Amino acid sequence: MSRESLPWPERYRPRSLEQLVGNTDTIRTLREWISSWRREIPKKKAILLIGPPGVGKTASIGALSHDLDMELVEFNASDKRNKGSIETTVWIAATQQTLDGRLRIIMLDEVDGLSGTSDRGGVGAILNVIAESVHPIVMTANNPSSPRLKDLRKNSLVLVFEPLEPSNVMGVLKRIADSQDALVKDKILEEIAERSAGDLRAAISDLEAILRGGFPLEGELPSRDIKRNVKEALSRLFMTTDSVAARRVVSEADVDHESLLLWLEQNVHLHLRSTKELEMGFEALSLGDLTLGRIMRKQNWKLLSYVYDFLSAGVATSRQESPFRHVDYTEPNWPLMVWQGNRKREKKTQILTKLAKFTGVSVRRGARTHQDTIERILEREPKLKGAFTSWLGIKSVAFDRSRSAR
Amino acid sequence: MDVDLWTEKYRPQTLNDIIGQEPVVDRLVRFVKAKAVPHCLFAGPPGTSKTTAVMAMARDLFGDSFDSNFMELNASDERGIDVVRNQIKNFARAMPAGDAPFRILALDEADHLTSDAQHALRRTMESYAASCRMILLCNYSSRIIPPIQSRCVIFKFARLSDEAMLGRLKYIAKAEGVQLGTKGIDAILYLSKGDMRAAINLLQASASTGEKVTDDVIYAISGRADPERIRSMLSASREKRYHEALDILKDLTYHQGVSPVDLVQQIHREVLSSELPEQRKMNVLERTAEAEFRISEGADGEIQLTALLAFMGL
Repeated sequence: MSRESLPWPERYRPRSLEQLVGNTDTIRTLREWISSWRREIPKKKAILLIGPPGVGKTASIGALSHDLDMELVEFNASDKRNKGSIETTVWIAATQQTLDGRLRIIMLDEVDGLSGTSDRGGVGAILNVIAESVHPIVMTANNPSSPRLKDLRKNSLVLVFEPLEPSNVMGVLKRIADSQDALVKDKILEEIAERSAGDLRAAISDLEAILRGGFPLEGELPSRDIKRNVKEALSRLFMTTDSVAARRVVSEADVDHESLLLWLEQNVHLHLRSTKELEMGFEALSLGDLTLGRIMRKQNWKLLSYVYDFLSAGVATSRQESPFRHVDYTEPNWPLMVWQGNRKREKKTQILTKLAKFTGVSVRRGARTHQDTIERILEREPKLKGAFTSWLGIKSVAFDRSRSAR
Repeated sequence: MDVDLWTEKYRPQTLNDIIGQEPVVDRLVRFVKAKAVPHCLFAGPPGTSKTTAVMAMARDLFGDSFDSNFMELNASDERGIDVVRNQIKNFARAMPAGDAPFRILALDEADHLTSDAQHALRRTMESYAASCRMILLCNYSSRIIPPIQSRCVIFKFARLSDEAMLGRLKYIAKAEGVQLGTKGIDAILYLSKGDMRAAINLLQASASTGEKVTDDVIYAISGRADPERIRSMLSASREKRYHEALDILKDLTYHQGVSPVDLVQQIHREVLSSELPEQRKMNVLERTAEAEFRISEGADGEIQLTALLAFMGL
């Protein structure tokens, strides 16, 4: 098996830092932090690299370990990573010296992919390993808002990788095309680079598909960018006011009903500008949502077809007077708001549990009576805040009256 | 009698036999020629040759060593993280048998893998890229997490055109010695909506009665009504000829045995493609959805359908 047959993203994986493109400052910081281990063990013994796929998180570690001549040990989501296995395998790798005295980089890839059930206790175990480690620990993750990262963030240096610039992607694509002795029009490389939205691995895959599988026709490059797919679908949907055309747009769009519903909810007002149109549009959305609820309750998927009717034809035909215009769609913020709300509530509950314990009432009653009183006192006499916090034994007070304050 | 399932018997064995999907198949053929296949993601509705394409590609690549170098896993049966960490990893890291350049793992219904399992797949795809290529099949590519999409070349499979389906159906009918008329073909195309698997199954079921395969046989076998009849029922109720509409309804439910749920679905389809003014159409659709929901909740089909027909006369 030669390297020839490897898929290109693997074949052209950077071996050295010089081959990496983009995120220069971030990678320099990473390099300095790892080099500093040669002198002494730094205060933060772990580093967390956050960024979208294909921007060089894992690749930069691989290249660094090569350049700095360090041993690289990798643990990723394809390994079992529950408490037990981390405390044995990773712990041994992190606390013992290497045979030849070189430093060892411990890479924990995809820590946001720790499974909730199979990898129970994984985060806690990683924290213990970080505390005991004599080697640099590098973690990678895609999703900055993953709840699994909450505690890991606190105990590590966080570096953010940005999507690559199209010019950087172009450069690499050109280099690969040259090494293949292939003549590719700049226009095609530009389109690949642009479609990849800063994901170099995806761009290299597309280049491979094109050079090995034949050139695509104009505009035939498939898109991985889910947001872009949805935005294009929305724009085409609102271009028509014909129900049959609207239905066809949605069925060809490769967008599932849940994301479609969220995106529409966030964006219909951009197209439906009169109150009547807005009312009709939201009525259609509401019917779609209602039908979805009915499906979920009894798993009656036969009704799904109607959901698509309401979300396509229903919404599109609501536009009766406003002319079609090109607009910038915003991503649904609803899931994020739910997440933030939960976190806020979590903090509140913590305080209320304490309050309830001290005052001997139920949590719910405590919220209705005592909390309100304390908030009023603090409003008049903010200096008392310290007294209350120490009384309740909590770190800082989230007593700020979020309702009235804003 | 032949008990083979025609969908299997007539599943194309090589890429060149696949009908429709030319842009995708062309490219797969070139991958085979170059003996280099990237990780792929095939996205498209059911019955559009996704599985067939993977198997045909693997057969073209591997020849005799197909059995030892190809594995298909249906992700909706085993979709947890342990499958990825055990079964998939074990298959992927073994060396290919014979002179095959790599092995191929087809993950059917990959959009049903839990997101944990998809995460576990990420590095496996890269670490064992030398020995194994993964082809993920799914209905919606948006249900596949971005890091996996980033590792795959994406191919979209479209619904098959009527012409493509027609050719294949005629070929099968001829090979099986089945008499299939134009009206019969139209009925199959109407009912299968670009899903080749459904079309072939319907043809086989209809042919098993031993008669000539006509539209009547097909509608009877599938338990659906002739769309012509539905259309005349709807126009009768629209023009306030209630008795006529009800007579057709009774004939369909009692004599032809079409179930109320199937009837509503066919009405739904006719309403969608009807010439009603858009606003009116949405109102009727809303009522149709309501009728289907009520019937599925246990309401009497005849009452709900009659009410629906009455609403259309308003």
